[in-house]
Amino acid sequence: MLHAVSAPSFCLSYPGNLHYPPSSVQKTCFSVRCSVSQTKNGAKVEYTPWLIIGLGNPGNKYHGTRHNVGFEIIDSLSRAEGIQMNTIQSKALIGIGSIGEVPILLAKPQTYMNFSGESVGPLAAYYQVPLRHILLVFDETSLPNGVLRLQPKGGHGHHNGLKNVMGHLDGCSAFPRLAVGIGNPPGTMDLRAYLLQKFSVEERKQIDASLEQAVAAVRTVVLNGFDQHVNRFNLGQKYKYHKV
Amino acid sequence: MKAIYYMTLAFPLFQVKVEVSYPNENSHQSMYGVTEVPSLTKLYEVETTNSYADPEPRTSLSPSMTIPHYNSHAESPSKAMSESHGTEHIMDSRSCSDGLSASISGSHATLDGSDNSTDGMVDSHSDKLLDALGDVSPPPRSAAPSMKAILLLLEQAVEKGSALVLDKDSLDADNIYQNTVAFAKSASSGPVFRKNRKVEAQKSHKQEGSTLETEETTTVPMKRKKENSTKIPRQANFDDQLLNVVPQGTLGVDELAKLLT
Repeated sequence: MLHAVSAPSFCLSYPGNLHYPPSSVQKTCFSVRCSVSQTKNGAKVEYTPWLIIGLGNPGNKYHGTRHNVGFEIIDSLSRAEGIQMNTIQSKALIGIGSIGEVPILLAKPQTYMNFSGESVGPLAAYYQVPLRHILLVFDETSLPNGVLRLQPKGGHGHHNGLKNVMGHLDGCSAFPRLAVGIGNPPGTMDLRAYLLQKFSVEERKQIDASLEQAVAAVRTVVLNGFDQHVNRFNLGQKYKYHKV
Repeated sequence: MKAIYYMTLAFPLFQVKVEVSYPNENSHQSMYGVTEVPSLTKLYEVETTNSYADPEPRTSLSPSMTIPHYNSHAESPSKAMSESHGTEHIMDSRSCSDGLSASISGSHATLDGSDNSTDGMVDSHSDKLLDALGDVSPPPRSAAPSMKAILLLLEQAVEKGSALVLDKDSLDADNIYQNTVAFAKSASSGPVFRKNRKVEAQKSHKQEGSTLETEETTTVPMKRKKENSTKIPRQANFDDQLLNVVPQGTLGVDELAKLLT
């Protein structure tokens, strides 16, 4: 009977002392983490940053239109790499992050398509990004819907946004670009109307699939550069919807 | 004396325990007992219960308390098992901390503390895993020198007023556009991208002395001379071709005239 009375009091009195061992254990764990991170830092190699720019028109009015596919690619990249785009600089919405150990700068010009260069030029100059590390993502009417194409350089392809960008990059066109196919306008439809039109249901599915492929392609280019993998990727994309 | 008498009458088993506990009245001996043998810990518990029994003699008389008493007996072997497992943790916890004071209550604290420290160890292990998973990516990004440089540039831009960090509430496309327009009006224009600067930089690197400068100046007129020389023969060629064509035409006409006559 006496034991029964005293036993609960033992349990109740002791919780006050329980905090000491766990805290000390946590401290030791923390020190271990620090040492591990230090060794990793010592082995790091410095990489040149990339500037990845998606062309499009700003505002909800143009969200989801064919001409804004560049914006969608940037949004997919930001979600995949955990980059928060919350900064305005040089008339563009930007976000800074990294792919692996390579720092990247994502940008969405807010100047409307035909004046995109007003954002690209200053950003590249400010962050000292070399021309070969400026990746431009835009829509391409000469490619079927959803087909991607990676190129280390090329012409403007009658794209007004690209023209303006070239103008603000000192007339140079030797920068890599990722073209996203949106197809040709049907019949005698005006090109401008087609560009500002939203995707159909089937086209949207194809674009959504290509967004994931684009993210993987950008990772490959940023980490490995333009090599055989890019050529293989382009071939795969070219014949993506061909049935044998 | 009366308490002991009552204990002997109600619970014959305690007679043996009480008799054995007399030599272990000293705290030091009881501490050693706790660390060495689990059976001695039981005896130690008996002593503590005796001390608590004195202020409440009436409760001992009630019949309902008998059942909890037996439960406490049943719990004692489980405590002994936990003690045996917890000895290592006790040592670890003591080494980690500055050291708990040795006392009667302290020994019980360590016993219960060992049980909870085992739970703490399990939690700490899971925390290690979670932290390891979470910490894998952030340190490389933040630690990279080029990454630091870019982040520094961004901070400088924000400080100078050429960059603006938006709130989470204003991340809508329309709000972003409006903020951009408003900010562009007040912010200074950014630097201009020029590729020629690199060429100039290369030239500046090449120019190591005045002699090189003179050489470069001499090469320019040579190119000009070449350009001038290339123009002349082309014109001459055109003249020669024209001269060749004219006489052929005249001969043809003469021949045709002769044939007609």
